[in-house]
Amino acid sequence: MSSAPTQFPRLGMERDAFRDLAQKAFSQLKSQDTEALTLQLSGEDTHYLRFNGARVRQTGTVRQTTLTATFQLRDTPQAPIREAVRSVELSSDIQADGLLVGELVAQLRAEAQSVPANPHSAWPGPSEESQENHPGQTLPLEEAPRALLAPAQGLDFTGIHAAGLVLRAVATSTGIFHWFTTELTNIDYSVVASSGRAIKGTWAGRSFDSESYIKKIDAARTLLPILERAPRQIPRGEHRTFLAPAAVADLIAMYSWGTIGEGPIRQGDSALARLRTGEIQGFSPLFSLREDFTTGSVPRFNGRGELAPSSLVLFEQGRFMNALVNTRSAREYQVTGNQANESESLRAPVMQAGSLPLDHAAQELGTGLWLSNLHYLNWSDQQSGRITGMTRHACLWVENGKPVAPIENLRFDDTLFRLLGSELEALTRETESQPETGTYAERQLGSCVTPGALLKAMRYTL
Amino acid sequence: MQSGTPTPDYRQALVIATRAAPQAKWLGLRYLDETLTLRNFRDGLPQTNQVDRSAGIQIEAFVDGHFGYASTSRLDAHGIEEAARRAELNARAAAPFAVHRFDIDQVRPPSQGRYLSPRTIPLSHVGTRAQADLLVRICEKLKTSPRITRTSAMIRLVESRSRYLSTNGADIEQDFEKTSIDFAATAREGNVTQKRTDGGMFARSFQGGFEGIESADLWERVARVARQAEELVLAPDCPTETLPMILMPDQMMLQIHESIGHPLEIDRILGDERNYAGSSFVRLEDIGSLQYGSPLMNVTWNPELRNEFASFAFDDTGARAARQDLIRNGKLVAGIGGLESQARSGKPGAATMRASSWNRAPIDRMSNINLEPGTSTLAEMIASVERGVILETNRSWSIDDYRNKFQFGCEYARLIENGRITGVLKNPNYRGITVPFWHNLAEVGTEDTFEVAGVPFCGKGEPNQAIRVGHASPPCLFRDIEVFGGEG
Repeated sequence: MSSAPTQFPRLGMERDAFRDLAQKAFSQLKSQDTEALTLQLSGEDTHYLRFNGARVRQTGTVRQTTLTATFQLRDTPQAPIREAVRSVELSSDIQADGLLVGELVAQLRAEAQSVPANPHSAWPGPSEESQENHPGQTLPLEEAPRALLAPAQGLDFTGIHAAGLVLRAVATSTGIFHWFTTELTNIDYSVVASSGRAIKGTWAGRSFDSESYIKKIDAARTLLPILERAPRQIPRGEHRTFLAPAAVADLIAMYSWGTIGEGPIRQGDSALARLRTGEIQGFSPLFSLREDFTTGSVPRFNGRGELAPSSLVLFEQGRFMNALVNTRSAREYQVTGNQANESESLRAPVMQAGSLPLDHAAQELGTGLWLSNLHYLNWSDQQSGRITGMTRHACLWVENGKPVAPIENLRFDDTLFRLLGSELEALTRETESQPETGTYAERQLGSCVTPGALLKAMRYTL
Repeated sequence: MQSGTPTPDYRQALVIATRAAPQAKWLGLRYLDETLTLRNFRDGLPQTNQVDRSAGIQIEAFVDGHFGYASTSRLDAHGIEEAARRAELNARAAAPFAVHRFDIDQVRPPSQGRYLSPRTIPLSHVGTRAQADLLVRICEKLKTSPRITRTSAMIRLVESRSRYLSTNGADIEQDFEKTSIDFAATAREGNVTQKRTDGGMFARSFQGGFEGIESADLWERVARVARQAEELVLAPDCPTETLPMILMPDQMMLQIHESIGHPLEIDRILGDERNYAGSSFVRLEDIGSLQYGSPLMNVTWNPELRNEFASFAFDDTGARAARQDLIRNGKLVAGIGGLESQARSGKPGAATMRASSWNRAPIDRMSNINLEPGTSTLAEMIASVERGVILETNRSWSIDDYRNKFQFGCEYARLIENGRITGVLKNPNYRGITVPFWHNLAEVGTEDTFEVAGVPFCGKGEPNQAIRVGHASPPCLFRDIEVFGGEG
């Protein structure tokens, strides 16, 4: 393009504007002792470009700013709390948004008065502030189609580009004020072979970098020929297996699904309940997992404006050290909280690396399955930690340390306690960061850092 | 609808957009104002008491055979103008790289019309206190014995109003009310914990007013859920065998959704979803020729069942919706694809390009996909089985990206021996491969056993979209199915 890129206004919600809006809302409270308000702001100005066959399927921009207000009411500072939540889209028009917020508080007060109190609800914490801004440079709308697709010409290149500003903030009537913005580009793609199998990849960064993006696509291009070979039918049963880092990240994601939180453990859903009581043995000494916010990929504060520890050990050499405990669970079960989010799910998981060099992994595997990605995991028996799922994308049969053919997709059905416990033989020295590319309702933030894992056996059932 | 966001003058908004995007051959404007109420109680205490209102506009611009869109929650003239400029720029920049050059008359019809969900008790007539009281009472009634260690009850209420206008004359207004209810009892005996719900995670999702929540059989269902939770903790695990299996309608819903609905989506067949939800084993040339299952299998795309969750009159491109066959006597006759997929593939489809909200572009979605009734009563099916199982209520689902190999788990099963039900089984799972599985369909329930259900969260698309779909089915008997139980 020869002309300068078209400029559009920014998201329209700056830090000071949010502070002013919050103060307007807080001024509606009748008493700081009996009423509290927590405002969460979540905004984005995103350019989406969806591609198929290295051509554009759909493209557009989304500009949204959602305000979620939690109103709390108690008769006295010692009394149980009634709570109501409302969210609305802000317009970025300061006057209109101010009116909207004024109405919200009255609506919320009426609603909170209509529901029973919950003795486990907690008042917002004391005054605390933080600010993180991660600037970057995304592709102009005019240039994005060419910049993204020209390097992939000749490939069956399919996926999504999501780029732009993402904003998260929390303000409470007790004085908490946290602000987080990041420019972020995520490119989540598959390079598909004519066999239908694919090399899956992601590119993520605050500023788009053409050189490293092209390098990734070219690397995928070189891996395509093996996916075109006749696939190997693998019989059901147990097979020695190497899980690439992305496949390990799929397993770790299951900890967020009713497993690592104090709530599901106490309520009997989580497999870790049996680990606590000693009914089930723990994980391999090779397995260590922590929440680590130091990368700055996701805000440290949760929806209540509480700052999580920079690093929190969950498993140390196979031993279960800490569950994720939000403030409500802490009150309900009389334990110490660690500022987990509402769903007590992982936000910034980092799994510790091992000592196996990645480029020796095939050799150490010997003969078995090399799985690049897993797909559609779900519990087949949640309390036993038993998971089913599929192999997907570039999964290969390896013989004597050499990849020989892709495989027909296999279904596995095995337990976390075996896969990260008795069957775990080695972890790779190198780790990879899988960026969170989810976009349900809005762009999600975060990443999952994992090594590859060599397993003595994994159970395949179909 | 609540006050707060001013309702825009849609026609004026389209005029403003047209002025701002002079290079667009066509513009469409879709406004959505949706209020979602979520109330969730555990052991009688509120866990979630939330009302989300989302109002915004999506403008689509058509330039050189390609669409660009821009979505915004800023609904004044500045917001409309900026969105129109962005939509036009997106279309213009991407047109040279477009996957297909569309004919606007073929893919954005100038339809006009209105749709109003049926409703006996409008949602606005039932206040927060009445809703909360109901959920507390459900929790209390579920707590039938000390074995019940946890109770929960939740509702989701949707009030949604949309308006779609275009420069070629489309003018559509649709007004929906939708409800979902779920409740659960968790029982514990020794180290065994089992949870029983009312049909699965919000399977009781219907179009209509509060009558979908406080229905005539509500308290009978509450009592059954509590009773069956206690039965489950004392029950043996489902055996590992290859057996005849009857799926009740609340599990048929999931079976239809995963192994018929998704593989028939034409955008999957065209490859749009290969990086995310996946592709399909179905090829375009299979439409009109593939024998998908046994001759007892008749599947329809039906947006006309008034209380089914995803009924509507027009999709989000203005295409008019009407019932049609997808699979007739086991043979695949049409796919699930909106006007754009039909133009790209040359295959018959349905009016099914829908968006989850104003901030997402419409894509092929399955809407209501139903398995039509057959001629067997449930008693006849059970009597025909020497040894088999009956499975109810989904709790686990997994299928490969081509929609072949699946494994599904249920909450509650019963053992059939010599044509009679002889006991309850816990942790039932089964697995299979789609086409052979449907060829094993041996009996289909009668009209009076046909039940309507729905799913509030069907995930698909890039950017991701969770959308509401409906499924209705009678119970069905399948032969030679691998079933198995729990534990590691």
